[in-house]
Amino acid sequence: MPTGKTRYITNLVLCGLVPTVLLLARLSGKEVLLVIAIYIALLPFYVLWDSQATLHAKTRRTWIWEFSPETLLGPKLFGVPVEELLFMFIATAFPVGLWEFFLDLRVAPGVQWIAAFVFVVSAPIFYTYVAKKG
Amino acid sequence: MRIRYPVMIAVYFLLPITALLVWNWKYVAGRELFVLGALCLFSVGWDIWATDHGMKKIWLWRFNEKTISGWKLFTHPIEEYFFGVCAPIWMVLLWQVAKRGFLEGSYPDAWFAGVMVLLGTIAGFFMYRWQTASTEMSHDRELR
Repeated sequence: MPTGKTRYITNLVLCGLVPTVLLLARLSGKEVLLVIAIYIALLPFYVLWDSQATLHAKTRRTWIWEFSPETLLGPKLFGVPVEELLFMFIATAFPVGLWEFFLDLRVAPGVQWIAAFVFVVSAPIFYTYVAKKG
Repeated sequence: MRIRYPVMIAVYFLLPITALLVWNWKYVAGRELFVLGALCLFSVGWDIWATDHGMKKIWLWRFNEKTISGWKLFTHPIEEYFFGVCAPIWMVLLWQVAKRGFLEGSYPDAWFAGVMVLLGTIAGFFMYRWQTASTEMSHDRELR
């Protein structure tokens, strides 16, 4: 069970990144490159979104959400926790991978079903062993 | 301001989604709509689970009650459901346009995808500036 500062990154990797990579594995090389290009192109957009939402400003009343410093690794890029940059990649690639997976579901063998299985099973497992015990 | 989060979602997601839906109209019908719905269900489920995780003793993130509408569904801010629906729809629609544009050689689609990314970033930049300015103005008023 992940504890302390690795909690968010562990959740992201196991519940988000693993299924995302499995879903991306069935795309062609050009499609994966395009997904990465979209992510890079959208980075300023994502950073603005996250910075604005977590903006504390002077009054410290304007934030929409805030991250727990106890469950973050610590390093930040453009004021955004590095975990969020990973979350943003997942937010970009996961819907695309799942979309392509669903559209090809009728002819989906092997890795697609593993991806679906991992995704469906990972959240309840982590809810049970991380969230509730946390 | 309790409308801060809804306004952010509207500017960052609803406007681009509307533009992308109009552009993609003939490509999103029938089976695609069903797939989009299923995708939203997955997304909302994951997001709500993650938010729920944030409400425990050891939290990942938490919401400010002063900047959300206050409407909740199963203890979660209603805005979070909107985010869970809007984010994947926006990404899938953008993906469709970018795929046609950059992988299938459709130049209008390639331009449109580029313009959407650029306009989204510019809108985000002005939203950021506006929020910073309005926050400092209200702070100055309180000081006076």
